[in-house]
Amino acid sequence: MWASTRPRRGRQTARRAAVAVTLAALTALTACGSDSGDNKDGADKAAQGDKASGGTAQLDFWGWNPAYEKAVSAFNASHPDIRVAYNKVEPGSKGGYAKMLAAVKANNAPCLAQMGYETLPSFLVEGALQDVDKEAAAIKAKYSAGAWSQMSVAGKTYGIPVDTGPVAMFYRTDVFAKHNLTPPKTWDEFARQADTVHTADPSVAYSAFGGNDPWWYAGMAWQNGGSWFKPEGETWKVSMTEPGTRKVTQYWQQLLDKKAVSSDPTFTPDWYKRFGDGSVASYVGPVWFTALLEENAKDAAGKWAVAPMPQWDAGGKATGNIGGSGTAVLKGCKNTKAAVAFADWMSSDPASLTTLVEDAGIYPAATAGASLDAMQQPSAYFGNAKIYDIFKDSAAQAPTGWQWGPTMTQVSADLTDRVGKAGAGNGRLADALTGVQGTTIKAIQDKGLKAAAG
Amino acid sequence: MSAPIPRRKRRRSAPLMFLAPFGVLFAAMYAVPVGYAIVESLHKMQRSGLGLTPPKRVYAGFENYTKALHDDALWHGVGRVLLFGAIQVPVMLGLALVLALLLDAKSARLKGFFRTAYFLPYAIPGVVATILWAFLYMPRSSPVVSMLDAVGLPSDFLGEDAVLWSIANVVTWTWTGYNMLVIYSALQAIPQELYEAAELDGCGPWRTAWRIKVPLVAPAIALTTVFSVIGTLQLYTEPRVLRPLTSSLDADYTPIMSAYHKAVENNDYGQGAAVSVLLALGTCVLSFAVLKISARLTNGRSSL
Repeated sequence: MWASTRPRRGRQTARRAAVAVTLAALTALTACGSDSGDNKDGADKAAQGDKASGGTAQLDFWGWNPAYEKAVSAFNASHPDIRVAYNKVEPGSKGGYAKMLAAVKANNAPCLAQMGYETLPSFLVEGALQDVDKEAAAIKAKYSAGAWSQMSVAGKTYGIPVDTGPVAMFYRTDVFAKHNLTPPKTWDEFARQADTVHTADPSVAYSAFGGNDPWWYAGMAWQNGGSWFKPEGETWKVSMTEPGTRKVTQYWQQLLDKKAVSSDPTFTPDWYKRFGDGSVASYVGPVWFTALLEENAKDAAGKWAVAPMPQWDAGGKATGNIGGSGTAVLKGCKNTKAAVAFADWMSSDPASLTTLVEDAGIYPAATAGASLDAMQQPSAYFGNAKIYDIFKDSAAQAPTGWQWGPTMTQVSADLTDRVGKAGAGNGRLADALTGVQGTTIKAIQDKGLKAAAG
Repeated sequence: MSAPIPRRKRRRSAPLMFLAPFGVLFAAMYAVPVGYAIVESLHKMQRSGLGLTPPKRVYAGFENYTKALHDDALWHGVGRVLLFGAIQVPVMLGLALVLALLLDAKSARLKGFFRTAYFLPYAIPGVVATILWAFLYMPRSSPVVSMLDAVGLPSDFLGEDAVLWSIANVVTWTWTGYNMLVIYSALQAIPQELYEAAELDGCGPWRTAWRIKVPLVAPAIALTTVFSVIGTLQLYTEPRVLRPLTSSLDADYTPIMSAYHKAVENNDYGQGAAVSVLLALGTCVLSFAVLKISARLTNGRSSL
């Protein structure tokens, strides 16, 4: 094995034969390192706490939302009996989830973890979650039914929802005014307006197709009331060609064929540039996009506005949901009571929610969140409009039947690849969706579970 | 009074003690992870029903390997890096050789400056280098793209057909200087008398370069070739960094990306480990083949 002991081109981050496993081992090691450090720390603190106040529960919490840090310190300041240590990790799909799974495997996972709703069933299938039915029953009523159901699988609850991603339509008032348009009420009108704008000025895309963002596509399908996944008996039924999704697929394919919408990869510097210079005139996106838009298209302040999501039927009232996450309780958590107490506080305490709304632009899963002061404020970036009013309606109108599957990181990667490609003009959307349905069924079967189309 | 250690025993333990630091590091950093990968590649997780109860780890025999060998996407990735290597490695090493010869030429000026300048890209981490280049590749932010547009040459550096060569460009930019330095060091080791003799025999600078220098640094070129081939098979950083910027780069674009995708994104470490082990074997075979061929071409004077 001379080749491996000699120095060589070291540009690869993963260069050993055992790349994947070494990686896992390393993640586990770092997890070990930081966690045992924290535990030791915690043990010291707990010992001090014992002396001072007679017992402090120590909880570790991993997440990536920067605003959680503030919420955690506020909690620690007001709750002497529970000490939460917040650890910022990479965003879930960028490595955070892998780190959490490795930590569970190594028996040193944190008690609590930030988790996108779509990923919860995948964690369950890896045996990485702990149910909190007993502790959570009493607080269930505080949260919107839709969000609560996203933290549950097959009737068991695994954590507390924090925020949801109600969808609305962002549009450029200057471009709309130039073409004498008002925000479209229906998708038909949306398509007609796209034609108008594109014909008048081919350099302007009427809207942006977010196909390489898998949860955007799911959000569009969500509006139609179906679901990509359904547990049926012992079998996972997978359908990315169900009627609601098919409608979405045909619709966006037409817009893409006419080149009336942009198909650039989303959330890149290039993409934001178009939102800043007005060469993209609208985007159907989630509430948390407000914060991203403000941050990445500063020059366009005052030019963007928010309108309700277009409807399939005139007068219809259905919206989609993109993203949103909760605080999950991971396997091995010893103090689930304290864990739920903290997670509930962070998700429902007015002060905590105000921090999260103001700093991270979240939409609270707790129903009382809608009446927060922070949600009534006009938004300077959006021409002093009270944009949260629109998201409030949207949150109430998202169908509740949507369910996620057991292999969402795979679904995410495959959707990004295939729908992204079809969006860019390489192939058809319908084929891409059929393709991902196939790879997903295979991936579930590879996990040793039963899966079928349907 | 302690008895003196018998001579023979002392002689036997000394080399062991000198070897120990290497042995321990080798075992901990290399043998154990590779061994763990092999063990992991022979296992899989077993689940039942909808999978809502924790899975069990069971022995899987060669199932993970069979699956990997039947994975079309993996083979496409292998084909892709081989094509990449067939073009990029000769171009890069050719460039490195020319630069080294220029630096070594009698008439060269400012040698120290140019040597450092050529070598500098190597000091920039791969991720940073790729991000730098990404800003020149992105269709709407890149000054290069808008300049080419202005003169009527529309370009799409991140498009389906071009992206592999855009990656090759980053790799070449990063590694040419490093390879040049290896070849240049070999050039420095050539005894001066050979040049004097060549000059007496009437060799001009061109002939000296082609007849004396190139054959004498052939072992160094063979060495850089082997390193580059290994590096090519392990292509990961550049496509991984560019992936969010374009739809042309799949999750399993290269074999290493495929191993990562399987292990981390699909959370199937057994499958990821099997791909990694197969890749390591393939790399070994290919490296030995390159080594054998170059040994034949350089009459056995390889520096490996």
